[in-house]
Amino acid sequence: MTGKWDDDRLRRAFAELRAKPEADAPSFAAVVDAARTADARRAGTPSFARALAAAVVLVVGGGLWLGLASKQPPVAPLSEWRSPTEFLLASGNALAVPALTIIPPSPNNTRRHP
Amino acid sequence: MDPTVLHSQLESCHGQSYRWALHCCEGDRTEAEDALQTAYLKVLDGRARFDGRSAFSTWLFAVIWRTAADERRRRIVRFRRSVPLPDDLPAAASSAPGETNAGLVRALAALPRRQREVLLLVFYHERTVEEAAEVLNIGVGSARTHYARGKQRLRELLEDSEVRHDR
Repeated sequence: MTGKWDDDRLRRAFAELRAKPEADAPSFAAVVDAARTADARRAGTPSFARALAAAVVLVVGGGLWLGLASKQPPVAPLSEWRSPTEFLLASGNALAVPALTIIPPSPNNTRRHP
Repeated sequence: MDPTVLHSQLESCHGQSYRWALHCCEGDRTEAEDALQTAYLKVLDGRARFDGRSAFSTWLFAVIWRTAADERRRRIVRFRRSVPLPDDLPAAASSAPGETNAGLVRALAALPRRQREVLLLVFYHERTVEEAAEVLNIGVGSARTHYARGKQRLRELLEDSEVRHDR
């Protein structure tokens, strides 16, 4: 059949397509049962993606923790602690005392004070 | 809605729902059944609620369409498989007897997805353009444009194929 495909002809052609019996459709009960089963299975078992995500978090977290723990600098005992500005306290004496010149008394100096 | 009533409403629409799911899944029966299962669960568990603003079957078609679209996106993200443009429409339709039917199925498959969806809803599933817009979650104006362009293109393809066939 050739000719113009007007709306009526289109509707008739679609009606022919639709007329095929729906014998190949699964039954309503089968679809609902399968849906319930799949839902129960999904709820009961963690998905692969979720398990993988948990494993990745554990590995990365553990690695970070180990890395940070090994990089901690050694802590000196409290008794050995020195202030970082301690040299300022020590430099006052060190500079002032050696600069003093001690003049010994001269033996010719007999003059007596009145 | 009462669960028993909901159940019986779903059951009464099951045949056309399955065909619509097939259309949404490019004729892949496994994907259509998966989409239909998920859509039914959404309805029965109350995750999708019928608000009575449209016919029950129109609302159900929208739920099925959204579910099929979500599952298609999920498959694309997972790289499990590509989503090819259909070589043919649902096997239920493509196996229909008659040269006209085969030509119609081929011509439909050659249309852009949105135009094909609107035409299938209007001609195959006997919805109005307004209902098609609601199912596909697009504006009525947009649906009318897809309908007009799709119908025009479908006519051209069918007439071309007839001319080729006659030579």
